[in-house]
Amino acid sequence: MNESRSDPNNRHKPNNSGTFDFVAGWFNWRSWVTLGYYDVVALYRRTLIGPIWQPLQAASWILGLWVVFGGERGGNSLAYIGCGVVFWQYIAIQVTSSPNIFFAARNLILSVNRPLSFFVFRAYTASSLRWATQLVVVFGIIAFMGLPIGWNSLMALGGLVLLLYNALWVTLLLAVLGVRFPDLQFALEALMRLMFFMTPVFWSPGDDMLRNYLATYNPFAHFLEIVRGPVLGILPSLTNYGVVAAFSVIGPLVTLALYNRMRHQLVFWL
Amino acid sequence: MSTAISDNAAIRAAGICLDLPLRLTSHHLRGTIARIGGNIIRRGGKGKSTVVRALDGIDLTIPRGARIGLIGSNGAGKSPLLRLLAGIYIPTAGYIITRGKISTLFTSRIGINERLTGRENILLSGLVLGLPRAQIEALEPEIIEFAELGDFIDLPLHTYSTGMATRLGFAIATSLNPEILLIDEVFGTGDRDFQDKARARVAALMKAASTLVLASHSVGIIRRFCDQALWLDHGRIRSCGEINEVLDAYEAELASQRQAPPSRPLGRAGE
Repeated sequence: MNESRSDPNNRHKPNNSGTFDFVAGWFNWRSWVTLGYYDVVALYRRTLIGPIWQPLQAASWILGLWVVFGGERGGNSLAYIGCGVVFWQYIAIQVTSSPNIFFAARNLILSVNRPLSFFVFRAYTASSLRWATQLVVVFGIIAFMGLPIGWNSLMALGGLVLLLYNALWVTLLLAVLGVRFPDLQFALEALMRLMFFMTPVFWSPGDDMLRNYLATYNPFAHFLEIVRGPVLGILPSLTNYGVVAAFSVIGPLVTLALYNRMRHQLVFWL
Repeated sequence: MSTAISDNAAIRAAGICLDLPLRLTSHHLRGTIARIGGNIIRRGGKGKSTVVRALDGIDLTIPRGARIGLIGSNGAGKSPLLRLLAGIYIPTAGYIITRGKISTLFTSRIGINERLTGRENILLSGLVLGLPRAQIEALEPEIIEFAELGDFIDLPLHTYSTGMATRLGFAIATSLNPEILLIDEVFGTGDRDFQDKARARVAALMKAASTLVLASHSVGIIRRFCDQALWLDHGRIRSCGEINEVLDAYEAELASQRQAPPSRPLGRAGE
């Protein structure tokens, strides 16, 4: 190995580090955005009202939760539950679909020498775009409930950007771990079902001690709050932003460290 | 051996070992692998996995302009070696230096989606192959012509006959412009007509590439396209050099094995 490094003729030695792979994959963005877009197109190609199914699915879920639990919160519970469900869905979709990304792309990975992160970005684009149709529900709620539009909308947009940014490293992290631990996918499915109830998606903490505890020590609660709060006209707390900021910095560092360690082996585990 | 790569070498590999981890938790499968002919290694120490040594001590220099045929039975390590040369696998030990743009033709269907139209599939497969969009659009007419699709090009792939889909996949996968071309047996499918067409197209591609490494079970195909051969046997180089010399030895061994079948029932399934 050392010999090749000192070789003066070694003009094309590939750099196999995870960071290099990540950067090389990222700069192919034209390709993976197009591929991700067509993944969604292909999904709905033969359906009658394809893209409308996601918002419909969200709406039916919101309706059920609102009918049963809406009374607890009074006034704005439809908006609270509605936004909660839509933004929670994004978290849940990214977490549960990520561990399978490399397995799904196995044939391509073993046939063409491309950055592995390319396939992660492609899947991330596809699942994000597919989810984005659910935002129609949020717009509907804003219009129907007469929610405020102004500074808070900008903050909501900022919160959404933070959510998308964090989903990116989470996707890569779970994709890598999912290759090494095939059980992860099923574990996360079970976990996210539990977390749906353990996160203030359709309930608010109020005076309940357990609920307050959950809303404080569950990171998902903070991610939810920095997007939903501003949509409803509520300023998120500094704690909310602090937790999100910590994840935004530490998460990518941990992910890249792991990716640098595992990049070589990933392909052998497929 | 000197480590410097001479100016006319396209690929140089030295001391290559490749261990593939076995994703098996049960022992009974290990017996199966051993019977097939893999070299199972159990690494010492806690938490180390069982691995199969797919390639062992490969030293190889491929000069620019060489046409090398990889031959060997199933499980000899042809595909792992090609993946190593392509940069898809990273060697466990040793190093590989390559010079020039490498393209691979390991499968005749690159990311084909049944629900999308032929035209969309050309674009998407091209993007997966890493071609710029402008180049894909420039290649499109020629791909459509090869695949004999006509107006079908704007219909989804699930409406195609098997032959049409095969031709399209093949045409896309072979629309490359490589300096070094690595091919794993891709002539297997399709009718007689298609086989002839496919061969002509791959022959043109191979002529355009300055360096070629072609893996195949078929001695005939290797003879036709290559001038040197490399015989892999259980992950090691059995012999390497002038094509007739290597292939004659290989065929002689195959013939002797047919007379006296090997004790391992699953070994040497290759033709």
